Amino acid sequence: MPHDRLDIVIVGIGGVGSTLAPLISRHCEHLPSQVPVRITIVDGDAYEEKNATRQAFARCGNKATATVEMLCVQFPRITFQAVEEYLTPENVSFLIGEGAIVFCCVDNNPSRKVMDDFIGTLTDAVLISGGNDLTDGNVQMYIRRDGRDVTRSLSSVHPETARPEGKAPYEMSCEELAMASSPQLFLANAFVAILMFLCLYHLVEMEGALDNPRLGELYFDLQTGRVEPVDRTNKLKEDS
Amino acid sequence: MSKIYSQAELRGMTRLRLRDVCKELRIPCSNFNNQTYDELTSLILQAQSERESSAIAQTQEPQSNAQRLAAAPQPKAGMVRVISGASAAVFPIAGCTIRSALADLHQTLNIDPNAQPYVNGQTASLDHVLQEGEQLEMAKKSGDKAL
Repeated sequence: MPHDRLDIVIVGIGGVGSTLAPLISRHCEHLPSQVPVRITIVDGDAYEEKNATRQAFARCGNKATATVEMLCVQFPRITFQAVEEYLTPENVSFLIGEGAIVFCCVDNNPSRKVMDDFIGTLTDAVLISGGNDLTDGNVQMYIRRDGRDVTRSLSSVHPETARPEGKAPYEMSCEELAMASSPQLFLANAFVAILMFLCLYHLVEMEGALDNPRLGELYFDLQTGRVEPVDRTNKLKEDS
Repeated sequence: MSKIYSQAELRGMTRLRLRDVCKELRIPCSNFNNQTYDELTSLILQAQSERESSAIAQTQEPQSNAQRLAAAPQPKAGMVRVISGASAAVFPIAGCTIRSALADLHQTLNIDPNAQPYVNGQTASLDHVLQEGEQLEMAKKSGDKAL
């Protein structure tokens, strides 16, 4: 196994994150015992009954804390930490450290940009970002290694992340937050989670995956049943 | 001359029906089963286009030898792989600019007209002339929701 420790941060524990967190936890629970694993779950939102159609939770209340309570019972080998806040430009440096593998499971581009920009300041880190529309979506992996981009950043590929529209949840009023929802399929959320887990599997189980990743971006379409991998290797000779 | 199928009609067909249409049109292919939906559609449109051109040429007044040579079918353009999100197929568009290729393909692959083009992973302009064997990606917007 190419890692001597795993520092995993899951930002957003809704439809995608609540499916992803148990998958990651189950895999990490059975890694070699000499590899310490810490999973930090970040979300300022709370579970409500109406979330039950797409999100897995044991009780109402803050999503991060409720999820950690559930997972630490099932997976005692892992050190879990709950952060009951939305990720912001002010707290991102406290939540994400060198060597972290960050799963971006949020529903807005301003937050994605905050994480994308911050990962670009680190020497070694990985950002795995996923999202879906009703029946399609994508997962992109941004790898930093020895201070250079091994794969391209989110913003360098997607202008909607580089110049985000709309507000992040920490910028919204309670009324805006209550109204900020749109139709989603649980299957689409689950598909994103599986593809994000696939990226982690590659990083954790395949030698050299950080330097020569086989995965860059994965697009999927539930209507056609297609998954298309796209190479996102950084081909620029200088740091970007 | 056999029936001409519009792109809309082809889009409404199953892959099995597209394969049968290819056989009706006597489109040469070593193994239709390995062709994707979009590849089959492209083959049919290409074959129909060539037949129409040939039929028009036959109805015109007798040509001189020079005119006949000039009107002779050109060698097929080289293939370029085009990706948009989860949709991908190869098309005979080498020699075309990205702009002109998209005019025909944007509906087939549901391409966002504002998508950023990449050729072999590098940012490209719409005036880039595609070469055989290149891969053109029209980067689809990221999925927005996750919570």
